[in-house]
Amino acid sequence: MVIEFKSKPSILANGAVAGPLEKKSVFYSYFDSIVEDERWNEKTNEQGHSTMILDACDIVMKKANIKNLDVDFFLSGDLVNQMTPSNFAARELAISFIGLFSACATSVSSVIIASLLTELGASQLAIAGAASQHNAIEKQFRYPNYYGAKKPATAQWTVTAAGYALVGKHNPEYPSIVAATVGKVVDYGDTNPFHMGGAMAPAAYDTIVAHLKKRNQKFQDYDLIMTGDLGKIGLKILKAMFAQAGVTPEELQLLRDAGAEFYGEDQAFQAGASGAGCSAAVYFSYIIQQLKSGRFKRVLLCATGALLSPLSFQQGESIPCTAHAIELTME
Amino acid sequence: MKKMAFFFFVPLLLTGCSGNEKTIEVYDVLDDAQKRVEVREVLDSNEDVYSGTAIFVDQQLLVAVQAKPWLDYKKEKIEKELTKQFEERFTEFDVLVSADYKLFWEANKLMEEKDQQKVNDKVKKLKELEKEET
Amino acid sequence: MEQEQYKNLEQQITPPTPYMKNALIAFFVGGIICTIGHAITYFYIIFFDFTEKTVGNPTVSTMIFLSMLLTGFGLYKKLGQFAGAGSAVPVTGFGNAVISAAIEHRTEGVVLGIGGNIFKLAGSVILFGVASAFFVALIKLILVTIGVVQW
Repeated sequence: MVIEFKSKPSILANGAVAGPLEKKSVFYSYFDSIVEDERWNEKTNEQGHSTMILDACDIVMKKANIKNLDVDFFLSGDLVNQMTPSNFAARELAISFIGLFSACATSVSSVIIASLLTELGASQLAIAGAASQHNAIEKQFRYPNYYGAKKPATAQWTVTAAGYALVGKHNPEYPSIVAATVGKVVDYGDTNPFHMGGAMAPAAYDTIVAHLKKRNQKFQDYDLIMTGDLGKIGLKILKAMFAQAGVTPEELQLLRDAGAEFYGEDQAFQAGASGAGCSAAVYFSYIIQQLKSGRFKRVLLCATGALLSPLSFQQGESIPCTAHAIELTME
Repeated sequence: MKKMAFFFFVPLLLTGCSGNEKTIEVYDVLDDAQKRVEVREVLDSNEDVYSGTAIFVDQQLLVAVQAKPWLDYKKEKIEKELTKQFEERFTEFDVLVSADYKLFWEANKLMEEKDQQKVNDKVKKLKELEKEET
Repeated sequence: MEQEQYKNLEQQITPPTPYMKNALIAFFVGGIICTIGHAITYFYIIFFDFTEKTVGNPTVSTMIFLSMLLTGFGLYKKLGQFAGAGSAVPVTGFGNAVISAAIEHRTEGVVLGIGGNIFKLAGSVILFGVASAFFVALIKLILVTIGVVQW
């Protein structure tokens, strides 16, 4: 389902924070702050996760020179059980809050909701975004952090990062959200939780195709189409799908993936980065800055999410995936 | 330091000793040539053993042997067979045959010992150790 | 694109698991770990009053202690990523599974956190270890009763 925003809500401020390991990221210099302690000096990883979200939101509010009372809505999500880090951060922020879960696609789905609220006139300013903390997420989805299991080459590394954006009324000096696509849940029967890229690629394909078709656009209309966390292998699969559909190699150059690029060519991270914070931190730092500087005029951000739980794949269920997209322009 | 070096070379020594020549040593205060020959006969006739040390002291006979590599699982059988053979030949001795490395190591150390009393004590102690299960 | 078609495409692009290489690395690393274990066995036999029968316990505790240190310093995780089954199968891997779960759930308290989760990964090893030991003993008992083998 494609939504076209007539009022073109703008992203008035953005903030991205990351943990110590993310210094290895190629996007490192675009982040607003790096914290040396991955627990954000809290006792538990989950508390650290929550503080990280607060940290990112504080940066957003500081940049826009506002206080929490000026913000109408807070839209956030993460991957921990029942999204407690987001809930607890919302408790501290004391802003009207809706928790959202689209797995790693929450970075975009939250912005879509914020844009809708803005378009509706219900919201003057809304903070939207997502976060993930490596240790807390690994504990939730996979093995204990210190357990020595061999991960296959298709595995991805959950990042410790948070990215948030302040969505408000249209302002030509800032990047604007002109359209969005709420993705369907696509399931091609993949069951391997260590190969998320392969499971999510069809969802990204479905959403991008739907968006371009409805908007009557082609690849060349964009300066960049960036998926969320397909990883190196997932991106290759997505490119192959588009190639089969007749997209030329030159056009495919416009297609990039935040997760595949996040850690550069470092082999230690296997197929690349993943997690709700991966796309959020890249979108709400690097992409926004590139748009503001005028390097990009029009981008399509398509965050992908694997909607699984440890329970569901142990019970043999396949991995349903979704992808949400927003189209950003800079005048 | 020397001990430490030894400790690291033990695995090498064990594999290095699997040649044809059996190293058989006998400790006997009386230095009875007949005994030596008999011990050698028994150990030579057993194909599963590559090395053995026998100690005769105070009516006791301790035979510590080492089974060939890959034959560890046969240790108990080897011990049983050899005990039977030694008991037939040395009826007046209290015989203990062991394929345990601990006993072999300690028995070889006793080869240089001159004090018979010490050897006697040590052998008694080793017999007790052998009985321990855990 | 149909599911069948997609599966083909996905399979073509996904790099195959290098089973041969993994098995070789596992063989050598597992072998090295066991050699270290054997060196410790000889250490206890030579310097302390342990026989081959009794040396198992101190050796296993030492290996688990080493694995605990490596786990706590985050080195066993790296070893595991390199060696796979080579570091998971020896007793050190069992130690790693128990200790990593204990560290992970320390924040939920001593009783419900550590106590309830310490065997989260290793529990199945214990269960199937005990169960298979029972059946092996049963088979041997039957064989001994028939007179095929002796205890």
